Amino acid sequence: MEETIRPLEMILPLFPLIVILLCLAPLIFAMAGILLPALGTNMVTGELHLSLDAMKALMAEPGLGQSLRLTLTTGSGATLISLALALLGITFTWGTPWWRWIQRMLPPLLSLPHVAFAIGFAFLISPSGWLARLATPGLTGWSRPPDWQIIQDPYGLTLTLALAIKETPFLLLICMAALSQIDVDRQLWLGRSLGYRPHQVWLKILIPQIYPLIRLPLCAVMAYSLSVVDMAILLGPNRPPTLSVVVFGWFQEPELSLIPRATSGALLLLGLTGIFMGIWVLGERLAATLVKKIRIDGNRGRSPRGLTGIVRGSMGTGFFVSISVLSALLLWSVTTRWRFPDAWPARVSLANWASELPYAWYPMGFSVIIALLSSIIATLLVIGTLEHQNRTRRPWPLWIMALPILVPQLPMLFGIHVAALRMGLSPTLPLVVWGHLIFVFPYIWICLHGTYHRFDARYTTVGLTMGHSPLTCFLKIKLPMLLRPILFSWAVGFSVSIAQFLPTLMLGGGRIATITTEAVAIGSGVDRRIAAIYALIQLTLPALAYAMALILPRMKRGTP
Amino acid sequence: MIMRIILLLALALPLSPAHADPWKRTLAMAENETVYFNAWGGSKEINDYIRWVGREVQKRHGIRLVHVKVADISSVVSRILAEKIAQKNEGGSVDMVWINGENFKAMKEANLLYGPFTQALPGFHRLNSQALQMDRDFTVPVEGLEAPWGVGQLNFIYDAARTPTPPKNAAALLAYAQTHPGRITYPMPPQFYGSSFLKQILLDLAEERASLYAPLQEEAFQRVTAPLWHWLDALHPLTWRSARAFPTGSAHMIQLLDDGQIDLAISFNPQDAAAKKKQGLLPDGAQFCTFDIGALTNSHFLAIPYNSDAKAAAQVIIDFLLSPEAQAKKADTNIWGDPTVLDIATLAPEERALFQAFPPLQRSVAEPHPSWMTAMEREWKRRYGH
Repeated sequence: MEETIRPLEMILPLFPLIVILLCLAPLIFAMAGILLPALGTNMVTGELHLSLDAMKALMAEPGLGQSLRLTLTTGSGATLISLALALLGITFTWGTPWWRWIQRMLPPLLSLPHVAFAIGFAFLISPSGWLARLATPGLTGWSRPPDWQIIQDPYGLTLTLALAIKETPFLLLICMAALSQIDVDRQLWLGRSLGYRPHQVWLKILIPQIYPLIRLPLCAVMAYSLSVVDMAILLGPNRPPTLSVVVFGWFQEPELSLIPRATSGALLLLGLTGIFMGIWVLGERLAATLVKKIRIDGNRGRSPRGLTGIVRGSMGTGFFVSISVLSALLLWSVTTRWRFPDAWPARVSLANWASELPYAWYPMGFSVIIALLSSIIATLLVIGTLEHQNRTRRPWPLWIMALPILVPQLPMLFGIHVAALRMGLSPTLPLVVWGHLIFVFPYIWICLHGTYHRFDARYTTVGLTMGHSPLTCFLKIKLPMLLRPILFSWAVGFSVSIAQFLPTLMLGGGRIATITTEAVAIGSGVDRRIAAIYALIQLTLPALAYAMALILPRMKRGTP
Repeated sequence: MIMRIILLLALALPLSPAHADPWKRTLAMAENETVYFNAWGGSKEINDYIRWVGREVQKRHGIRLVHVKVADISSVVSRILAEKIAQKNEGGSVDMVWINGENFKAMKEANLLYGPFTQALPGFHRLNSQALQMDRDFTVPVEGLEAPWGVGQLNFIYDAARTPTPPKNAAALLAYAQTHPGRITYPMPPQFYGSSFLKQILLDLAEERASLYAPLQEEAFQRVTAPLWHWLDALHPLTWRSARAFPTGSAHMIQLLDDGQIDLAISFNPQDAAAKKKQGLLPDGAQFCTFDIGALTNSHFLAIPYNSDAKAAAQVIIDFLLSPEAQAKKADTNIWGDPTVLDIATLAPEERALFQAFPPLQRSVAEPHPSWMTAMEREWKRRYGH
């Protein structure tokens, strides 16, 4: 017995050590990359003269207040809408054919790159877009598209909506992972036998159980929505744009003396995210007391026919939009000519594919290698560290883990890059994998954290009382039962790695080309045809990972 | 006389072959080197052209050329800067960059560039330094730190079927906007095309154009630029989306022009209209025009970072890119359509024939000093940015 306990006890403490060394220590350099310039370091000589000049330059920026307000409204709007859509969607489609259909559509929707989604979405709804083309001239009578401001509207409504539609599938995936830890059907059955309508059971019993499990991924959605740049440039307002776009523009300026202003802007964005999350936590408390009251009010609920219709309608619309975006991209990838107001492309050929695909295989290979290595290493590290924390009961502060998600990448990478070069590390594949690990690890941590800690330890206890070793119990009971959330988190990590642009470019010295570095560089020309091809190529790898995560657990017996 | 010639020959003798021809030494050193060429990768045509260059220099000089495609060259500047801060003074990750304007200024000021090297290139004498101002990049002295590669000339693309007489000065453009509300726009400064548009308009409207070519005088700024702001105040209510939204750049404008949303798209390549028509991105009626005062003209350049390990090979490639053959291929609208930087008149007849099919450069007006652009961008933001 003693013999078999040892291996686990000896190996487990190693995991947090590796995590500190590989994933957390670099954050010191990363933060130095942001803080030092903001505090007044000369970028060329490296001398530090403490000053508030950078902050003053930031505050003097015209329209800063409006940018802040826009960031808050679009970020919070997108988070709230996608959360509502995900939770209501599950409530009203669970156990119906709709739900199975949603599950099937998730992998491609999750894997669609944000920029590609934005390009497709803009094409769908703009005054010269696909919907307008389908209706013109038959219904509209237009000879030319009208001058309507649908995209880039001054209130950021289009941006909010697009973000919400893009983030809902991610939250649905996280909810699915969380639901695998709860016996939903039996609780529904029990609730119904007491006369409660299913939606009342969800509201009173089930959602309060899954919310703690999806809370952290929700924070990631929030942080993403507040700091999104690429989608905001294409769909967001211009005068002024959101704060993240303003800051991004500053980082793009080659004038070295302006870097401090940019990093101060990054700090402001970080502060804004922090404040917003604080407000969110207050909101959570309020909601919790509310739900507590509702839970025991004995209200069985009336038939929610109207609400069901609305929810299914909006879910349907969301999926219709996503599928239209996908189809538009597919069509554009084979288009040679498609003018307004034609409803369909005038000339179609495979020439676009034939000219780009031969050059795509090589970078695709690099993408797969880097993504597999970084996501598998990160998943192992996350499981090991969580297991160790579970035993020692000393959890780490989450904000440290989430830092790479919350802070703009460019200044962070600048700091990490300088540190790596100082240590004599030159751009190689391992360095790039490590760079990806820094950003993949927090996503996997956030996706798995809640579910892992909520695992019912009594299952393992039963195994232990039957005389099995902790290692056997861990491998034979806990891991298989957590297989679904683990695979989902791995797939999220895999797709995060695939999407990394700046870490690959900076740490690879431009010498390691992945499908994303190619796609971003080539896609910077806004040619819908080329953007569509690279979006579809980029989509395949994560889609395979998500499909695997969805299918594998079903093939295994004994998992809920 | 004969004696003198013999004497001269005798003097020349000890210098050959290695000493007399440093270029031969460069060629010898360049062999088997790998050059990582960091360049914007947003155009399929340009990428294909660089692939062709790679095949040619491999065949001719045994050099491997790798195109590192980047979305924005400023990220390369910050990568080299990080290397400098970390004291990685050799074996840098970049061997050659495609650059101009602000990015060149930033690299030059931070001492990130190798050189001067351009005088040593055999092809240097072919450059058209008279018609094109090549010793300055946005008025910043080049000082041999970068070699000109191509020319940008601001032009407006339009669909002749819809716009038979396009406007060719600022007043006509405003009048056009009045009769065609919602069909004129420009990218939002400090986006490159947006700022260039402002400069073109200001050069047209300014009464004291000369002061724009000297560093900015703060007290003169309001006086000199006032006509531009007047003009923009009048234009904005008449623009696309009433100036509440702006296109992201040239490619976006070309898309909007093709969609029929706007009537004029801004481009920096006079052969863009023809090239984009062939690619199926513009209607058959697409043509271009420039302003009567001349098209805002600047060059784009090639430079070598100070910490490159393949400086010899990079110079050999740059010299090849300046050869009549490579320049003619680049100027071909079927391939890229970027105007040549060579002085055609100095070329041998058979080389001259390569360029016969291409139109001559448009009448040009030079870029103002960059300090004006920075100030104009700031003022634009203050007035219209929010």
